[in-house]
Amino acid sequence: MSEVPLLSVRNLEKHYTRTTGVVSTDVVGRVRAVDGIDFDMRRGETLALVGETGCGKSTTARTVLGLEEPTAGTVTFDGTPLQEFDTTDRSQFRRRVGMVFQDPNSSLDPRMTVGESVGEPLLVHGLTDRERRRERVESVLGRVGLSPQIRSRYPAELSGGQKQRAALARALILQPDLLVADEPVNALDASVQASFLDLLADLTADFGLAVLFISHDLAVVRAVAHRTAVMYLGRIVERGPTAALLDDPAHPYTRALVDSIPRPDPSRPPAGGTLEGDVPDPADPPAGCRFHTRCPAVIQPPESSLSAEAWRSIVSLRRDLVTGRIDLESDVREEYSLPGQFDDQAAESAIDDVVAALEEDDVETARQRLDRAFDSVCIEQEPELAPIEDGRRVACHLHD
Amino acid sequence: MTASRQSDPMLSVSDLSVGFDSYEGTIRAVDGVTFDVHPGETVCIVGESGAGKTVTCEALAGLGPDGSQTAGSVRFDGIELQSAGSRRLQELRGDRIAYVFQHSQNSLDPVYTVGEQLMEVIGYHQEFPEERRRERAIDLLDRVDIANPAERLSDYPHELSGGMGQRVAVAMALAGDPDLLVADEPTADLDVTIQAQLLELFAELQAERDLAILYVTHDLGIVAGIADRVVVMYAGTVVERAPVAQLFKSPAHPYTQALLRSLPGAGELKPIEGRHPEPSVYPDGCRFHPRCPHAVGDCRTGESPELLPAGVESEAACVFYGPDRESSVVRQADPPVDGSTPGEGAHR
Repeated sequence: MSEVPLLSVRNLEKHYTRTTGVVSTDVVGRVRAVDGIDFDMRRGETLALVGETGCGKSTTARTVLGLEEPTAGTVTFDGTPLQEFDTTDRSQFRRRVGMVFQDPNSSLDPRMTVGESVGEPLLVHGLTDRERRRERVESVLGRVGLSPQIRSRYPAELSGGQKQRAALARALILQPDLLVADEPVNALDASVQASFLDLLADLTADFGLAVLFISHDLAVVRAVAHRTAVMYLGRIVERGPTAALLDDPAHPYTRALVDSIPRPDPSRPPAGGTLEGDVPDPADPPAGCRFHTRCPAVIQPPESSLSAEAWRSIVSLRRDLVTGRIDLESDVREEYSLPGQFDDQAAESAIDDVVAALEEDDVETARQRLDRAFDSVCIEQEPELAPIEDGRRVACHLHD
Repeated sequence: MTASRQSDPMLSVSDLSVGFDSYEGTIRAVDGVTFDVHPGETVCIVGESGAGKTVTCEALAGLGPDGSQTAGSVRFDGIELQSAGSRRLQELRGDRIAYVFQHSQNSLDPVYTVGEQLMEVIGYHQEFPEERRRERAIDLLDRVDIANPAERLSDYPHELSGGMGQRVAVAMALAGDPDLLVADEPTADLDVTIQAQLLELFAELQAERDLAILYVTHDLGIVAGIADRVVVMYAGTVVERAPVAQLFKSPAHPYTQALLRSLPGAGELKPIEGRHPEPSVYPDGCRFHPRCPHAVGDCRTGESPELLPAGVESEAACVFYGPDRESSVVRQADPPVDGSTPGEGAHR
């Protein structure tokens, strides 16, 4: 793989400062929207970024497009870092990168005809010949599956699917090398979605277009993306070929996402064991592995000798202590089915202390005592994005 | 998920039609819709945007848009809602029939706290002193799995995440201890993980109190997970009614078949050619005929076809299930796609 990647992202960070008031400039926190991510894209390749709301996938897209200044790290397009662009480079870059967003209405001016909207980028980049513009517009409309007559219609006269195709035509008219598509089919019906995704796949195959595809819908991602990167709280937690990643997720978070998709098959019951709680505040991400507060597979400390069951009980007790879901009125031992007497002496005395603290309604002390007794590697240390089999990388201590 | 079909239906909709006046004459957005929902049962209405799913739900308890005219019968627990006065409807709504919508968070008032709004709703249903209302509000939030319910009471709606806002809306809907929950795409804007939590919650609530649920969605994955029976709508009419397992195993109506084939993940993507018609220009005959690979002469004229038995407990509104017809024509697993189907979506 000596070929220079079309797009290369290294250690990209985008932080936003949080201030105390509307006019105040006292910084009280930093929202780590994107917090150190790496990926490459080659020509003709579709890479999907997936994750829940607030994981940083859209911020990544905007930073790659140069719409946001990165806090740290580099974005290199075709060998040149974005930061080193001069005016000509910048104009070149805008010609070579197209974008499509979730809401097609946002990319089409309601007072312009479809033909004017689609042809506008040509005008901006200096193609003033009306006749040649019209030819190009008709040809690109044909390519996205719209009839040339649609040129003279206004966006309000089109269906959602047609509008999204028109938005795509506008993104493609300058024959870009890279298309950034942020949830492009979210607002479309399943039947219309299918034809749009089909079209995108044809375009990458026929014209060598690279697509950065942002989505939270894994069924859609499976249909279009060659490779997928899963993001959680500003970091990539797993990355690899789409089919392998979705068929056999290596990271517990990817597994949870896959299990959460409703399957159109009533004979296979829902996977269950869904993720508890919401994504933590990105201004204050959990220490260690960022996913450990919701992870169903937190690793037991090596020196402890708890049964798998007892460990799971302790992990869910810890999670509820951290997220504040603990019910102070209930009997903790019973509620979390902790054994009446642990074989492990240290564990037994720790749980005694925790129960005592909770009887005093002192959640903080209980949490600290629990953490001291059971220091999991997942809580202590952030995992690296390390290679595993089939060209995949995963950031999880289970694969250390 | 346990259907108790022996019981009387909690909701019985028959021949429901909803029309709007427009410059182009009366538009029938919903036309002759019939289905039942039993206690403890989940019935899903599926279809594309514009199929009339939402209008159907709104019309059930007189929530239809201004200027709409409804006809037909809607019986809730034996009470005819179509002829019930607005006061009676007002009593039933919230108390016994609860609604949760797609953007229910938006129905929360931004200038009042979650607690104030919940307690107001509780007070509306039951005459409780303030302390008792507060306890009930905490119970309800706890019931929908909101952490630290007592603290959340003093939060304003903008302080809640999307998933939490939607749960508060569910808590509010449950305040009157309803017998029927009408949920219209309640998870459409949420992440899959949060959606899974909410669907689990609906299932628990249903098991707890034998709740009848009418759930509207365009996501067949959700349907497969929660429905007992399914009503498929197209262009304002019901085109198929079937138990969920049967619908997915052997869909009877060509539209249902096409819908299932268009799912990502079902192998090669097969979009439905053409587009869903606008209510002002519904085609004659079967409304699906311009996009149907099997359409023959009588599909194109006259009234839209009636629902006909198409299998055990399943019915389809398709002429091929009529007498003297060979239903195996449409039963073919993979019909040849007619390349000449009209419609601007046809791009190849």
